[in-house]
Amino acid sequence: MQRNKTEPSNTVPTPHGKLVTDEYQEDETLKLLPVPKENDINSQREELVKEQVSIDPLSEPTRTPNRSKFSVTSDSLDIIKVDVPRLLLSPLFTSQSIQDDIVQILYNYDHSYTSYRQGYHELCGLIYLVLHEDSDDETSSLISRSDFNKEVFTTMINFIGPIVSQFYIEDSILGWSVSIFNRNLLLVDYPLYELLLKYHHIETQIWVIRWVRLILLRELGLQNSTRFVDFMWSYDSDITKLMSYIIIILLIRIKLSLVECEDSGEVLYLLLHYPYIEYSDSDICQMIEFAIQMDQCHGDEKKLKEVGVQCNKWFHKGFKWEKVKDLGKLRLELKLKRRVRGVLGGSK
Amino acid sequence: MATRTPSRSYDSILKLLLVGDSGVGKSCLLLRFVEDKFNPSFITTIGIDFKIRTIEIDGKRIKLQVWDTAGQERFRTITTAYYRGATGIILVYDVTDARTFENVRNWFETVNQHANDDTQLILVGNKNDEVDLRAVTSEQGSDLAKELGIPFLEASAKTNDNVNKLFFELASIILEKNKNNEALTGNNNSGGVNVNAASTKSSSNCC
Repeated sequence: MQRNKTEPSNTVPTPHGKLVTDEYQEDETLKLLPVPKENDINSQREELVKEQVSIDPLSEPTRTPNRSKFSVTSDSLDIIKVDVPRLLLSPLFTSQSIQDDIVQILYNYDHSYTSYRQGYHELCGLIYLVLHEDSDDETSSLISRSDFNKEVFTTMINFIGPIVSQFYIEDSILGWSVSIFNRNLLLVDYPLYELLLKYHHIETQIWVIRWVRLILLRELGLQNSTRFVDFMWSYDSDITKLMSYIIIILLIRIKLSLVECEDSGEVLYLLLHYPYIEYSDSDICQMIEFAIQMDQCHGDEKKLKEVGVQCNKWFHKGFKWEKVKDLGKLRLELKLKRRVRGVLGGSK
Repeated sequence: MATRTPSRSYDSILKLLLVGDSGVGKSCLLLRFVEDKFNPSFITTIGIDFKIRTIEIDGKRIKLQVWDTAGQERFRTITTAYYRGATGIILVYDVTDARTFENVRNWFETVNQHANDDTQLILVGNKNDEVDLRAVTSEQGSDLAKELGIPFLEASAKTNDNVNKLFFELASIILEKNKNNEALTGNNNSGGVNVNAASTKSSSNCC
């Protein structure tokens, strides 16, 4: 991700289906609202307690016109203030003044766009970090703190719009998991699809939610994730476009470990504790290349399967992946090999 | 006696869930229980996290799959998947934050909406080491638990006070309940409780 990397699109989709023009982003008079003081929030809270409501507010998770905007924002602000000190992407975020900046940016995003959801803070942190690293000493001395925060804010609007609409809105993430991810997995690697969904009965949305909401930050680590995001963003300003394929490729990478898991608990554990490795540039290029090839198959089943086989061969040499239809058999083979290796090792 | 790594042999599996407001220390309790570690600044849980520890109760190896949920994910339909098959749910609040205690009732309602009727609940007041900051007394916690009809204890992930006891006690209650409930002791994968299931899954072909 680089500063001013892409041309801003004319419109930025918001999760509510409205479109915000980029005039807002270019508005030089843009001023971030200050974060309300604790006393202000408490006095407003007391008023809210007295308010009569016609519907159970607990049953409505999203902002509605019936709800006081302030109440939502103050609740969000509480969670933002809990989350920001837990932003551990970089030692930079241990600074109280930078934490205050992040709180203000998130508060403004909540106020102007959508209610804060846990995860926005890490996306905001990632943008803050990248812009901070990109600004050399010369430019940083010219940019005031408030201007820098505005830049983070406007970049955040551009960058996370598609991520929010696709992965943070509940119906969207459910739909994406089933209609896009599961379908693509089925077409690219049917045995893997069968293993996860038919044999272990693991619902994709349970584990994939963290992968996509944090754009692979937890699974790949900051450096790897940033490089993947750079590539994805270069391919399309909507980085969600390649996401399902990237995740499928990452699953293929750990396919043998998934096959060897003894029960669904072990599989889920592996999915939520993705084994970390440092990728070389050529590794990432190759994986992105596979993802692009998959995307450019435009749903053609035969072509997708072929790319899937190539990808399997690239990660796991020595298998005739085009002939592997039964991962149960493969599990037995792997077990047998392990035992033989154990016996041979023991006899030496 | 207990092991702290995913184990390949066990007599029963129990799925436990940690729920409660953001920042009450759910992930810290889990980290303390599974890895015996404590980290005061812990990253926010997004969606779920998941850890496994096998414990031994009355000579039986019980594999605990503990699901740690994000505090903000209370009303989401996606949470239905989290609750499915849960045999025990730990309702956590922070004894230094009265709002998290007040929200226990909301969590209780949410849990009752999503979980099975026979899911065992337990109420836990975390951070009981923070004596000077305490905002909720033990009596308040105990009274609420009585009202809700569930067991209660206070714990501290930081000092490791009552953390093991919490999980062992919950597991013991579930096992005891299921001894008297034949309907739940079979190889029942759909109902969630799979107590007394076969020790290991066979290596049959999956596809």
